[in-house]
Amino acid sequence: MSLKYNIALSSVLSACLLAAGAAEARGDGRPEWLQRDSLTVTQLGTVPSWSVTGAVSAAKGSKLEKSFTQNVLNTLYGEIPGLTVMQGSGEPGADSPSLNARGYNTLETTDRSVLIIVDGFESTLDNLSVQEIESVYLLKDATAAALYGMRAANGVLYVTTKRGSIKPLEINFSAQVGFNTPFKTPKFVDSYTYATLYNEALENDGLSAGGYDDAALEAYRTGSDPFLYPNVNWQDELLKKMSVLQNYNLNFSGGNGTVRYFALLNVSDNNGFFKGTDPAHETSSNSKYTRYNIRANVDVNITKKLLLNMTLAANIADQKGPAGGAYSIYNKAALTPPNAFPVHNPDNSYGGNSAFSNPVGDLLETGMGSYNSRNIQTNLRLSYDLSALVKGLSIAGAFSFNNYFIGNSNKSRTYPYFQVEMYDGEYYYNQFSELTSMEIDDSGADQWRNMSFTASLNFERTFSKKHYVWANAEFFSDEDYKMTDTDLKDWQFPYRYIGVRGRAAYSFDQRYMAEFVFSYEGSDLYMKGKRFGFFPAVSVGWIASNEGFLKDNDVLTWLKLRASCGTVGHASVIGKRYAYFQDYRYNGGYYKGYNQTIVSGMTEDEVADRNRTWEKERRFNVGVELGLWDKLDFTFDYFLHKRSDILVPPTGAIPSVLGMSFSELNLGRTTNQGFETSLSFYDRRPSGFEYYAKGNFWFARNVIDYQAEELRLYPYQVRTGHQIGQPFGLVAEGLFRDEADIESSPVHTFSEVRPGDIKYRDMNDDGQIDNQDVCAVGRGGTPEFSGSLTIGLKFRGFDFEAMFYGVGNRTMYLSGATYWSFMNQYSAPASALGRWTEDTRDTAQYPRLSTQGNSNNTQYSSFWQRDGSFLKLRYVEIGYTLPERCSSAISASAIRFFVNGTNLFRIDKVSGIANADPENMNGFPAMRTVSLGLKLKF
Amino acid sequence: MKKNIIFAAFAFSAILTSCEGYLDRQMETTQDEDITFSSYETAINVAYGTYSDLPQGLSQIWGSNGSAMLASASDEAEFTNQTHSVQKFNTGAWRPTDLPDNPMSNYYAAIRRAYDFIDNVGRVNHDDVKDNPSQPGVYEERLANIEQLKNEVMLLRAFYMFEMVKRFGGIPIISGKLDQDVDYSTIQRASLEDCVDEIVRWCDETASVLPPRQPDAELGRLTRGAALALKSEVLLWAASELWNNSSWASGYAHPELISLPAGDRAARWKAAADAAKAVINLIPEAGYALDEYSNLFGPTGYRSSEIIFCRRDGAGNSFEKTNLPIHFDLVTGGNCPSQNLVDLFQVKVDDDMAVDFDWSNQDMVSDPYSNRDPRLAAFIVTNNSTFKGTSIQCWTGGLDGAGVRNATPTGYYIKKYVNPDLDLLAGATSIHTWIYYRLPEIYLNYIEALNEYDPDNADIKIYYDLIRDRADMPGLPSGLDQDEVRRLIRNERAVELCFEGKRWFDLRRWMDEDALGADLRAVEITRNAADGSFTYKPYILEHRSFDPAKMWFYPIPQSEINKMPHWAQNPGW
Repeated sequence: MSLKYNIALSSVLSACLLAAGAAEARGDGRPEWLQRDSLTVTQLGTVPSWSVTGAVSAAKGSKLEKSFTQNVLNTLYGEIPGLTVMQGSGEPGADSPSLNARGYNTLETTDRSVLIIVDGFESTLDNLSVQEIESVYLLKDATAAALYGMRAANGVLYVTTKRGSIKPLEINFSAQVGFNTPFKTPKFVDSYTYATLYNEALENDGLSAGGYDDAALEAYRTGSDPFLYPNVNWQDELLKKMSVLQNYNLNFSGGNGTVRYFALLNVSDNNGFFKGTDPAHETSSNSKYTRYNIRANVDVNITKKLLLNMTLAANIADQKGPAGGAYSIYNKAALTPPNAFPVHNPDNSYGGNSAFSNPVGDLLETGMGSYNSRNIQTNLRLSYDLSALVKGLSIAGAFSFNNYFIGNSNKSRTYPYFQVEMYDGEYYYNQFSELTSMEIDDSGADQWRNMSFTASLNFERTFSKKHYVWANAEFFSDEDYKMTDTDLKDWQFPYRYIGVRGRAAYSFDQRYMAEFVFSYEGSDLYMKGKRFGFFPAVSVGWIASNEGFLKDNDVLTWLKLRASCGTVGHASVIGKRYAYFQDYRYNGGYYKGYNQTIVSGMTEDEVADRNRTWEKERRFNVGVELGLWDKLDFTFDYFLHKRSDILVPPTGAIPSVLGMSFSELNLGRTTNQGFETSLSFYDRRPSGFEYYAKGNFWFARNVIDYQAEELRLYPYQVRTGHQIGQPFGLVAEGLFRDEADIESSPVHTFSEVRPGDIKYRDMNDDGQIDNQDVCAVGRGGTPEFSGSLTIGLKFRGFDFEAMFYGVGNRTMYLSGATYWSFMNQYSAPASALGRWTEDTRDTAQYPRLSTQGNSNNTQYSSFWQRDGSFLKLRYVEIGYTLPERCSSAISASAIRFFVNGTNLFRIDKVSGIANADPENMNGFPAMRTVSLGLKLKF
Repeated sequence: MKKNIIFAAFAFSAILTSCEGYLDRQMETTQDEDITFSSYETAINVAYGTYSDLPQGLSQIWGSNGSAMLASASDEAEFTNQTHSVQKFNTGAWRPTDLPDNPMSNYYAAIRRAYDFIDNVGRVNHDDVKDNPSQPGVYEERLANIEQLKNEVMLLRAFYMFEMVKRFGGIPIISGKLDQDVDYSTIQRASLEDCVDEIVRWCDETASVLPPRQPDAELGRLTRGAALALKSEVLLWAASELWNNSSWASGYAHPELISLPAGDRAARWKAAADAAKAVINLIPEAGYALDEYSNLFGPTGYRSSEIIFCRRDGAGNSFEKTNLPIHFDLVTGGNCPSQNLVDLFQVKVDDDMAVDFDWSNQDMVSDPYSNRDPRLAAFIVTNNSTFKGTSIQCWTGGLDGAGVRNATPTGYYIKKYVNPDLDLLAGATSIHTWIYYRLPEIYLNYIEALNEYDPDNADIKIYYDLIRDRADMPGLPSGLDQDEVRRLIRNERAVELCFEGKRWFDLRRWMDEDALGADLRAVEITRNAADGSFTYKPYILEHRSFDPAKMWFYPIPQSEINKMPHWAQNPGW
């Protein structure tokens, strides 16, 4: 091992070293993200990676760029072992996925968000451009996370942004233009099919009236009367085939011994894919998102001993969309029956009826909403070298101000739509709603700011060349302030944390390491005297490959073992701001007086919780890192987390007769364990052909140990002991074949059942199917395991890289009108074509149709559950870098063209069902993007 | 080095200690207990908060598209939306784990609020008005108002208890503000008798203090009449069949939860009659008088002289949007009167004689809505009648009839409570009054009780006729026996008080199994194209499910039983 870093230099905490050290580890052409980092950035300074005994996994910005999307969080799928990212809506500007670290460790009743730290301070990540990200670290075990004490337990993402290094000015420019198409959109039937199925449903229900007669069916079939017998594909009416996504990036970096800088300008735009919206954004708006990012990270050696690190970043983003929200328009497009009414009536007014407004009218006439966000992330850090006093000693102070302000402006109005019917040869119009003037509401605002201050004392020194000592103590205060309303509400008060954190590490001869980390932290969420908590962690490590007997082994080039344990906390911010006060609140009221006057009512709020405290999690972690032939790298971590004091509502135990309501109490406990592993490979042939691969795989399984659950009548009903998020429902045993089958089965009590309805298992054998037969079915929506595989090739200017990403052990639930026919008068999905009929009774996978809501079939049951596992091609990119003689013609040092595909295809088990998307079952779909790009380097 | 670290640690902890104030609450923005009860205004708000849980029968059972009245669970009506939760009562799908009408947690919270007020209102700081010459008499007024509100909240407690007792039988009697750490495993359901005694006791106590009528500015607050009316209703229940009969639940271990001890029924009927008479005797002082229906159920109904106790909410139009005939703009469909109910409205032969409607009488059937009890036209929209300035088309194929989505399934629309003058498209609203007690109910309580123990009492005809006169219907015929009079009194109750949330409970109180399990009927109306005439044909719309082994009472919700496993479930559930 010949890691060429300079401990003395790194002690000045200059992040510029990162870039300098990064490529040096192994002098070959392997991508940056395949190299074993020589340095790891932490809250308390940059440390040599070999000395790290905690569990940390990382992703590099250069790799994240390969996913073409506007939201950094959407580049993280599969990239960091232990970090599970779940796709949400694909709506431009509102497409943040949900994150969890090592699965969920806490109950659904409480706050489960991951703490995001950017350049050392709490911040937001979704609005940065991926081009400004250097690394994203997931701090997994107690040692890595304990510094964040009371806010660490749900996982910490530690993000660093790019900084300058000692080199001549380098200019990078890139442009990428892509085409978005919806990954999957649910499919629905046309009018003729709808009417036919509706008649069948009525017949199934034993109802004779209300169906479509032969003339109507014929009209739907031939499309002879588009007004009275319309056949509208609402999705086609509302949605374009594609939208355009663009990104342009320009950055400058460089520096010398005194000043180093990184500056960036980035523009990103997604123009949305609704049809026919008002380009002036008056009466309507497409769903679009445009963002401008700028950054200037500057490091200055003011004197030989005084170093200034300045981080300045800002972005401006405009998100626009239809007044009711893109989600709602999208849903209306999907769910409005094709024959409900025409888009336009004969008099060109909008069609509509008492049950539905016109989806096209809703999009084009009801106004728009816009969110204009301004975001600043800035921090200043001064450090002073006190080596003159004590060799290796330094002090530092830092201040950070991170904030966003989102101004919300809504224009809204209603518009008239008409149900058209014909009497005696004349159209008769029945009006619903009416045209109002545009109401403009600019009052909505959402703002957040985080102001933090830290002051630290740092010591780093190597004694006698073998004893490496590293210690820090840092005082910190943190104020987190979120305000979504104009008047000051209790819960909008700044959340304040204050404390000391520190670390002491020792290693001997780069072979034996030990480390102690702690945080002593207090929060204003708790009553005086119960505010401060102590969160310690210890870890040890052994680098066996540095032992004499392995030192120059050509096969086993790296072997490191490590173990850690400790406690972290989670100050869950849910419910009341100050749970320890007994509050009263206005609630209801009573009208009195000859002339109506109201007197407000007031009531005791939730019972004060004077013992409220933070969640605690004890963590244990062991890991191994292995390197073979300098080509193969392998890491493995096993973990065990035990969480206690989780806030759970005690309602399961509190009878109504008390007349009191209780807020959540610190009663819940969970256990979570699993592993993460990754394996990477790189080789370069003498011909210059390079190929590489990296696989990640991780698994986490949790169990609820206690949650103040109500008493259950039967053991199978007990939720405790199951996975967090375990669904409970009825066990479906297929569809009733015939009346005889119904006769011989338990009585289904939700509604009258007929052949073709779902048959359930009588769990308690009482001859009756009811809510008491509900038991654990399937799994939750969060995958237990995830994995990814990246493969790449490079040869003579050509490069190719692709990444596959998959998850498993999760269940999807098909529910609501997207999957259930004729729910609330909605449409019928294409999957209804496979419904039960007498002819298909042996094969049908979809129950008989009904117009009556059929509450038997809509009970939560295993019938509608599907395996939610999938494997997707997350991205593929093919590039070509022009030979130097071409690039130098325009004085560029490199010119690269590339084609990129993001989210191109997926293998899963639900696509066949009405084109369902296992990641995003309803609403705005996720996107598939094909793009072309150009990168210039000067 | 070591010393440096120790020094640093010491320095940091010193900083922390001095910074602890950083974590204190910066400002009082919440209304905590001290603030609430130190101010007269907010303390009073707690008392009014106790009022705010009074049931709103126009939207008793919530649903995502329109709320249903309890009438849609009884034989009075059917709710248009077949997936509405009120239908669970009709299909028999209600059960301990799924009870569409469960007020228990609201009412016990309201009872706690009542005691919270009583316990803490003494903490009010009156310094601003006490001995303040610029506000003479205000202090005394406040004390008097507080005293009166204490009685009002205790009467509300009795009212809420009775709402629960009607549904569940004997319930736990909570007589104070429970401590947060109370051992609730000791709380038991009280016997029905104890519940009745407790309610009656507080009716008596508050009736002696509350004023017979409230001044105009306070109209709507509880009065002596409300206390006496509640007592009248409770004692009528105590005399009626359901609470005096546990034979349907033979073998049930806790008959005391669902029935009173055997006793002198005649004495119970007399107590009920006396209690009703006490309200009637209050008329001169309270000023009660029968009113016009249009006023009573109109937008200023709460001012009506006929009302003993009611609530009204802010002006709204959701009742109209739910219940108007479907062809009107913005209407979604709601509570539709049944043929069962319509058949109870008699046919007026002449000023002295009325007969029941008879489907085998072709003259009646060919023109079923003429010569009917005028209350039919006052309470129900029938086919081809004029409403909101237009003719309502309930026939098959008509604008309001079968074939139109969400049209009435029964052939009728409700008119009682509907304000026909609202322009819904313009967003117009009006006040709706939900009546708990009005004078005719007291008359009906009185004569029902009289007829049971003193069938020859002359008051029966007097008070029956008072109600009939106002409705422009003939009085009680002479020469009827006790059973015939009972039938007429019950019929009168069904007609006069239709949709008012009474029949659902009356049928149980009478143990009228036939009516509870009766098929719900509707009318099919065919328009004869040739002459525009109509043909009416009744048919069974829905089989109503009533299980006489259990459905006399609601089940205790399973969620409560799970927490209180020592509670007895009601029989059959």
